[in-house]
Amino acid sequence: MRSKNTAITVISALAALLLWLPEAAAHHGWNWTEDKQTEMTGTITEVFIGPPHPRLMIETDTGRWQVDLGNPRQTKSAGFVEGEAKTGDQVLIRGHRSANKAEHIIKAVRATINNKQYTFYPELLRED
Amino acid sequence: MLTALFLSLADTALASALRQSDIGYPLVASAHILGLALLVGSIVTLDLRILNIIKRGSLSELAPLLSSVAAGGFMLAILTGVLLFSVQPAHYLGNSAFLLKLALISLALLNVALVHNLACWRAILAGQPATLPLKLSAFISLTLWLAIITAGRWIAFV
Repeated sequence: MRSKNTAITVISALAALLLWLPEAAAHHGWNWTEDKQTEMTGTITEVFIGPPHPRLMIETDTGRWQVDLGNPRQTKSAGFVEGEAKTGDQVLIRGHRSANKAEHIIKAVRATINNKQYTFYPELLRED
Repeated sequence: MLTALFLSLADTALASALRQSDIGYPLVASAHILGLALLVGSIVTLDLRILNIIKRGSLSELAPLLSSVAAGGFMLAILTGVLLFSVQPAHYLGNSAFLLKLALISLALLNVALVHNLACWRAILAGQPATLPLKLSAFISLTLWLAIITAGRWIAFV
Protein backbone atom coordinates (compact mmCIF):
# COMPACT_ATOMS: atom_id res chain seq x y z
CA MET A 1 0.00 0.00 0.00
CA ARG A 2 2.82 2.38 0.94
CA SER A 3 4.67 1.76 -2.35
CA LYS A 4 1.43 2.36 -4.28
CA ASN A 5 0.97 5.72 -2.53
CA THR A 6 4.58 6.62 -3.26
CA ALA A 7 4.04 5.81 -6.95
CA ILE A 8 0.92 7.98 -7.06
CA THR A 9 2.78 10.86 -5.37
CA VAL A 10 5.70 10.65 -7.82
CA ILE A 11 3.39 10.53 -10.85
CA SER A 12 1.36 13.51 -9.57
CA ALA A 13 4.54 15.52 -8.94
CA LEU A 14 5.79 14.79 -12.49
CA ALA A 15 2.40 15.72 -13.92
CA ALA A 16 2.46 19.01 -11.98
CA LEU A 17 5.95 19.76 -13.34
CA LEU A 18 4.67 19.24 -16.90
CA LEU A 19 2.29 22.16 -16.34
CA TRP A 20 5.22 24.54 -16.21
CA LEU A 21 6.83 23.36 -19.44
CA PRO A 22 6.66 25.91 -22.27
CA GLU A 23 3.55 25.82 -24.39
CA ALA A 24 3.79 23.69 -27.53
CA ALA A 25 3.43 25.24 -30.98
CA ALA A 26 -0.08 25.31 -32.41
CA HIS A 27 -2.03 28.13 -33.98
CA HIS A 28 -3.04 29.12 -30.48
CA GLY A 29 -0.95 31.69 -28.64
CA TRP A 30 2.00 33.56 -30.09
CA ASN A 31 5.12 31.81 -28.88
CA TRP A 32 5.43 29.79 -32.09
CA THR A 33 5.73 33.03 -34.06
CA GLU A 34 8.49 35.58 -34.60
CA ASP A 35 8.50 38.51 -32.20
CA LYS A 36 8.66 41.06 -34.98
CA GLN A 37 5.53 42.19 -36.77
CA THR A 38 5.87 42.09 -40.56
CA GLU A 39 3.75 42.77 -43.60
CA MET A 40 3.02 40.52 -46.54
CA THR A 41 0.91 40.97 -49.65
CA GLY A 42 -0.69 38.25 -51.69
CA THR A 43 -3.64 37.07 -53.70
CA ILE A 44 -6.34 35.17 -51.85
CA THR A 45 -6.78 31.61 -53.08
CA GLU A 46 -9.07 30.35 -50.30
CA VAL A 47 -11.24 31.94 -47.62
CA PHE A 48 -12.45 29.92 -44.67
CA ILE A 49 -14.61 31.70 -42.08
CA GLY A 50 -15.81 29.28 -39.42
CA PRO A 51 -14.79 27.04 -36.56
CA PRO A 52 -12.42 25.77 -35.36
CA HIS A 53 -10.14 28.41 -36.92
CA PRO A 54 -10.79 30.97 -39.68
CA ARG A 55 -7.97 31.27 -42.23
CA LEU A 56 -6.95 32.51 -45.64
CA MET A 57 -4.68 30.82 -48.13
CA ILE A 58 -2.71 33.33 -50.16
CA GLU A 59 -0.26 33.20 -53.07
CA THR A 60 2.75 35.51 -52.60
CA ASP A 61 6.17 36.14 -54.15
CA THR A 62 7.55 33.65 -51.66
CA GLY A 63 4.95 30.99 -52.41
CA ARG A 64 1.75 29.80 -50.82
CA TRP A 65 1.08 30.98 -47.27
CA GLN A 66 -1.56 30.09 -44.71
CA VAL A 67 -2.91 33.13 -42.86
CA ASP A 68 -4.37 32.31 -39.44
CA LEU A 69 -7.01 34.91 -38.53
CA GLY A 70 -8.47 35.41 -35.03
CA ASN A 71 -10.68 32.75 -33.50
CA PRO A 72 -14.28 32.75 -34.86
CA ARG A 73 -15.48 35.33 -32.31
CA GLN A 74 -12.49 37.66 -32.81
CA THR A 75 -12.78 37.33 -36.57
CA LYS A 76 -16.45 38.31 -36.45
CA SER A 77 -15.81 41.30 -34.18
CA ALA A 78 -13.12 42.45 -36.61
CA GLY A 79 -15.94 42.71 -39.16
CA PHE A 80 -14.55 39.92 -41.29
CA VAL A 81 -17.63 37.90 -42.21
CA GLU A 82 -18.79 35.86 -45.22
CA GLY A 83 -18.67 38.00 -48.38
CA GLU A 84 -15.99 40.46 -47.19
CA ALA A 85 -13.29 38.76 -49.30
CA LYS A 86 -13.22 36.41 -52.25
CA THR A 87 -10.71 34.36 -54.19
CA GLY A 88 -8.57 36.63 -56.35
CA ASP A 89 -8.71 39.65 -54.00
CA GLN A 90 -5.42 41.32 -53.04
CA VAL A 91 -4.67 41.28 -49.34
CA LEU A 92 -2.12 43.02 -47.13
CA ILE A 93 -1.42 41.07 -43.96
CA ARG A 94 0.20 42.60 -40.90
CA GLY A 95 1.18 39.94 -38.39
CA HIS A 96 3.73 37.50 -37.11
CA ARG A 97 5.32 34.77 -39.23
CA SER A 98 6.01 31.32 -37.86
CA ALA A 99 9.42 31.23 -36.19
CA ASN A 100 10.01 28.06 -38.19
CA LYS A 101 11.19 29.35 -41.59
CA ALA A 102 10.11 26.13 -43.30
CA GLU A 103 6.53 26.70 -42.20
CA HIS A 104 4.61 29.14 -44.39
CA ILE A 105 2.13 30.31 -41.76
CA ILE A 106 1.53 33.89 -40.67
CA LYS A 107 -0.74 34.82 -37.78
CA ALA A 108 -2.59 37.97 -38.77
CA VAL A 109 -3.03 40.92 -36.43
CA ARG A 110 -4.68 42.90 -39.22
CA ALA A 111 -5.73 42.23 -42.79
CA THR A 112 -6.38 44.93 -45.39
CA ILE A 113 -8.60 43.94 -48.31
CA ASN A 114 -10.10 46.35 -50.86
CA ASN A 115 -8.94 49.30 -48.71
CA LYS A 116 -10.86 47.98 -45.73
CA GLN A 117 -9.04 47.05 -42.54
CA TYR A 118 -9.94 44.10 -40.35
CA THR A 119 -8.08 44.14 -37.03
CA PHE A 120 -8.25 40.83 -35.22
CA TYR A 121 -5.99 41.81 -32.29
CA PRO A 122 -6.32 45.62 -31.81
CA GLU A 123 -4.24 45.52 -28.61
CA LEU A 124 -1.31 43.88 -30.42
CA LEU A 125 -1.19 46.20 -33.44
CA ARG A 126 2.15 48.00 -33.72
CA GLU A 127 2.31 51.04 -35.94
CA ASP A 128 5.74 51.87 -37.32
CA MET B 1 -17.47 9.13 -55.75
CA LEU B 2 -17.20 8.73 -51.99
CA THR B 3 -15.04 11.86 -51.95
CA ALA B 4 -17.73 13.77 -53.85
CA LEU B 5 -20.28 12.64 -51.27
CA PHE B 6 -18.02 13.76 -48.42
CA LEU B 7 -17.36 17.12 -50.07
CA SER B 8 -21.09 17.71 -50.62
CA LEU B 9 -21.57 17.60 -46.84
CA ALA B 10 -20.15 21.13 -46.77
CA ASP B 11 -23.18 22.38 -48.72
CA THR B 12 -25.78 21.08 -46.27
CA ALA B 13 -27.85 23.49 -44.19
CA LEU B 14 -26.51 21.91 -41.02
CA ALA B 15 -22.87 22.49 -42.01
CA SER B 16 -23.65 26.06 -42.94
CA ALA B 17 -25.41 26.66 -39.60
CA LEU B 18 -22.42 25.19 -37.73
CA ARG B 19 -20.02 27.51 -39.57
CA GLN B 20 -22.06 30.57 -38.66
CA SER B 21 -23.23 29.78 -35.15
CA ASP B 22 -21.18 31.00 -32.19
CA ILE B 23 -22.17 28.12 -29.94
CA GLY B 24 -22.99 25.26 -32.35
CA TYR B 25 -19.46 24.03 -33.02
CA PRO B 26 -18.20 24.16 -29.41
CA LEU B 27 -21.36 22.31 -28.28
CA VAL B 28 -20.98 19.58 -30.92
CA ALA B 29 -17.26 19.33 -30.11
CA SER B 30 -18.16 18.87 -26.41
CA ALA B 31 -20.60 16.09 -27.29
CA HIS B 32 -17.85 14.50 -29.41
CA ILE B 33 -15.56 14.49 -26.37
CA LEU B 34 -18.36 12.99 -24.26
CA GLY B 35 -18.67 10.22 -26.87
CA LEU B 36 -14.91 9.57 -26.70
CA ALA B 37 -14.98 9.53 -22.91
CA LEU B 38 -17.75 6.91 -22.82
CA LEU B 39 -16.16 4.89 -25.61
CA VAL B 40 -12.54 4.84 -24.51
CA GLY B 41 -13.28 4.89 -20.77
CA SER B 42 -15.30 1.69 -21.01
CA ILE B 43 -13.00 0.02 -23.56
CA VAL B 44 -9.86 0.66 -21.51
CA THR B 45 -11.61 -0.68 -18.40
CA LEU B 46 -12.76 -3.82 -20.22
CA ASP B 47 -9.40 -4.40 -21.92
CA LEU B 48 -7.53 -4.04 -18.63
CA ARG B 49 -10.00 -6.46 -16.99
CA ILE B 50 -9.47 -9.01 -19.80
CA LEU B 51 -5.70 -8.58 -19.47
CA ASN B 52 -6.16 -9.19 -15.74
CA ILE B 53 -4.45 -5.90 -14.85
CA ILE B 54 -7.78 -4.95 -13.27
CA LYS B 55 -8.82 -7.96 -11.18
CA ARG B 56 -12.15 -6.83 -9.70
CA GLY B 57 -15.58 -7.72 -11.11
CA SER B 58 -16.70 -10.70 -13.13
CA LEU B 59 -16.03 -10.59 -16.86
CA SER B 60 -19.38 -12.22 -17.62
CA GLU B 61 -21.08 -9.10 -16.20
CA LEU B 62 -18.53 -6.46 -17.16
CA ALA B 63 -18.05 -7.53 -20.81
CA PRO B 64 -21.65 -7.01 -22.02
CA LEU B 65 -22.11 -3.85 -19.89
CA LEU B 66 -18.87 -2.13 -20.92
CA SER B 67 -19.22 -3.05 -24.60
CA SER B 68 -22.75 -1.58 -24.65
CA VAL B 69 -21.52 1.68 -23.10
CA ALA B 70 -18.66 1.72 -25.63
CA ALA B 71 -21.12 1.16 -28.50
CA GLY B 72 -23.26 4.08 -27.25
CA GLY B 73 -20.19 6.30 -26.96
CA PHE B 74 -19.10 5.27 -30.44
CA MET B 75 -22.48 6.18 -31.96
CA LEU B 76 -22.34 9.61 -30.30
CA ALA B 77 -18.74 10.14 -31.46
CA ILE B 78 -19.54 9.15 -35.07
CA LEU B 79 -22.65 11.31 -35.23
CA THR B 80 -20.93 14.40 -33.83
CA GLY B 81 -17.75 13.57 -35.79
CA VAL B 82 -19.64 13.73 -39.10
CA LEU B 83 -21.04 17.14 -38.08
CA LEU B 84 -17.60 18.50 -37.17
CA PHE B 85 -16.20 17.10 -40.43
CA SER B 86 -19.01 18.70 -42.48
CA VAL B 87 -17.79 22.20 -41.58
CA GLN B 88 -14.81 21.83 -43.95
CA PRO B 89 -14.59 18.34 -45.53
CA ALA B 90 -11.96 19.23 -48.15
CA HIS B 91 -9.63 20.49 -45.42
CA TYR B 92 -9.92 17.30 -43.37
CA LEU B 93 -9.61 14.98 -46.39
CA GLY B 94 -6.23 16.61 -47.03
CA ASN B 95 -5.13 16.20 -43.40
CA SER B 96 -2.85 13.18 -42.90
CA ALA B 97 -3.66 12.86 -39.17
CA PHE B 98 -7.38 12.71 -39.97
CA LEU B 99 -6.86 10.03 -42.65
CA LEU B 100 -4.67 8.03 -40.26
CA LYS B 101 -7.39 8.32 -37.61
CA LEU B 102 -10.01 6.93 -40.03
CA ALA B 103 -7.75 4.02 -41.00
CA LEU B 104 -7.11 3.20 -37.33
CA ILE B 105 -10.85 3.36 -36.54
CA SER B 106 -11.48 0.85 -39.36
CA LEU B 107 -8.90 -1.50 -37.83
CA ALA B 108 -10.41 -1.09 -34.35
CA LEU B 109 -13.91 -1.86 -35.67
CA LEU B 110 -12.55 -4.91 -37.49
CA ASN B 111 -11.07 -6.03 -34.17
CA VAL B 112 -14.48 -5.57 -32.48
CA ALA B 113 -16.25 -7.58 -35.21
CA LEU B 114 -13.66 -10.36 -35.00
CA VAL B 115 -13.60 -10.64 -31.23
CA HIS B 116 -17.37 -10.74 -30.87
CA ASN B 117 -17.42 -13.77 -33.18
CA LEU B 118 -14.68 -15.67 -31.37
CA ALA B 119 -15.50 -18.67 -29.20
CA CYS B 120 -13.45 -17.14 -26.37
CA TRP B 121 -15.86 -14.12 -26.24
CA ARG B 122 -18.82 -16.48 -25.74
CA ALA B 123 -16.70 -18.31 -23.16
CA ILE B 124 -16.19 -15.22 -20.96
CA LEU B 125 -19.90 -14.39 -21.22
CA ALA B 126 -20.50 -17.92 -19.88
CA GLY B 127 -18.17 -17.20 -16.96
CA GLN B 128 -14.97 -18.81 -18.31
CA PRO B 129 -11.60 -17.02 -17.87
CA ALA B 130 -10.13 -14.99 -20.75
CA THR B 131 -7.91 -17.01 -23.10
CA LEU B 132 -4.81 -15.90 -25.01
CA PRO B 133 -6.53 -14.86 -28.29
CA LEU B 134 -8.92 -12.66 -26.30
CA LYS B 135 -6.05 -11.10 -24.34
CA LEU B 136 -4.20 -10.44 -27.56
CA SER B 137 -7.28 -8.76 -29.01
CA ALA B 138 -7.67 -6.67 -25.82
CA PHE B 139 -4.08 -5.50 -26.14
CA ILE B 140 -4.61 -4.59 -29.82
CA SER B 141 -7.82 -2.73 -28.88
CA LEU B 142 -6.05 -0.76 -26.14
CA THR B 143 -3.24 0.24 -28.51
CA LEU B 144 -5.58 1.18 -31.37
CA TRP B 145 -7.98 3.35 -29.35
CA LEU B 146 -5.17 5.26 -27.67
CA ALA B 147 -3.57 5.79 -31.10
CA ILE B 148 -6.94 7.00 -32.45
CA ILE B 149 -7.21 9.64 -29.70
CA THR B 150 -3.66 10.78 -30.42
CA ALA B 151 -4.21 10.94 -34.20
CA GLY B 152 -7.47 12.83 -33.60
CA ARG B 153 -5.78 15.44 -31.44
CA TRP B 154 -3.00 15.72 -34.03
CA ILE B 155 -5.44 16.94 -36.69
CA ALA B 156 -5.01 20.50 -35.41
CA PHE B 157 -1.22 20.28 -35.51
CA VAL B 158 -0.36 19.20 -39.08
